[in-house]
Amino acid sequence: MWESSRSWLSFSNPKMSNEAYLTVSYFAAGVICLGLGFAAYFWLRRPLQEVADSLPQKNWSRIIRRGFPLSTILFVLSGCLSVNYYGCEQKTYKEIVSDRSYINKKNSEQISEALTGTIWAVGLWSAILGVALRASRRRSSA
Amino acid sequence: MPTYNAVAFFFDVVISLGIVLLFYALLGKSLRELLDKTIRLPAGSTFYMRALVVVLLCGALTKVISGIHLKPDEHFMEYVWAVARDTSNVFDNLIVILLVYVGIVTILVVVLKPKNE
Repeated sequence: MWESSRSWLSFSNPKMSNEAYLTVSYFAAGVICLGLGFAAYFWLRRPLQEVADSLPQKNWSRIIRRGFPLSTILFVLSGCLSVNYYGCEQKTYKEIVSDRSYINKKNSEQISEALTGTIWAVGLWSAILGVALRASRRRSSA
Repeated sequence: MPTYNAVAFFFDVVISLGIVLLFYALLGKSLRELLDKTIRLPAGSTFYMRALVVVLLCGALTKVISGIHLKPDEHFMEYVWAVARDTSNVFDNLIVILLVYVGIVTILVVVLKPKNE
């Protein structure tokens, strides 16, 4: 038990191998990005669902309810996965693995791209909701 | 290392969050009233207010999250310039985001026609 927890904690050890550091930091950045996407989704979910419920067209309301989480997570993931570790200078794998500050920079770039993805998703859904509100208003005033 | 870089990064984050709070404090109340009159659906106003918070926070953090990577022997003013550069980038980003947001709210006001009491 103690041994297994020690081996898990070895990921935070500066003496861990460069290869392991790259793997762990890459997936940790991915998890943080996903967390950001889910946080944005959960915070906006309730009001968006209430607006969707007020729409007269039930199919549209269902599409909005299902499309919102999907698109938010996809935007975030696409931003996170779009980061190119080889960079403009076309580094080799060995150069990437041996340079931890470069790996850290790329991890922050992943998170930064995920935040940009969140902005795009929220902007897109703000516009879609505007159209939906307009449509429901027209329907109720007719 | 990186102690100075970490301190500069901390200042970066605090300043950018402060800017976001300032923007929200300046705009929040009147924007909420306008949205309430325009949308006439509390959930809709809540969505747009929360969306503003999300885009402002993401817009500010996306410019500072990359951190500051100066060598330990750099001078104090070089750290100040690094923080100033990041803060300027945060302002640039937030201005674009606010312009787009104001555009969306303007379209909402035009198409939904607020109720004047």
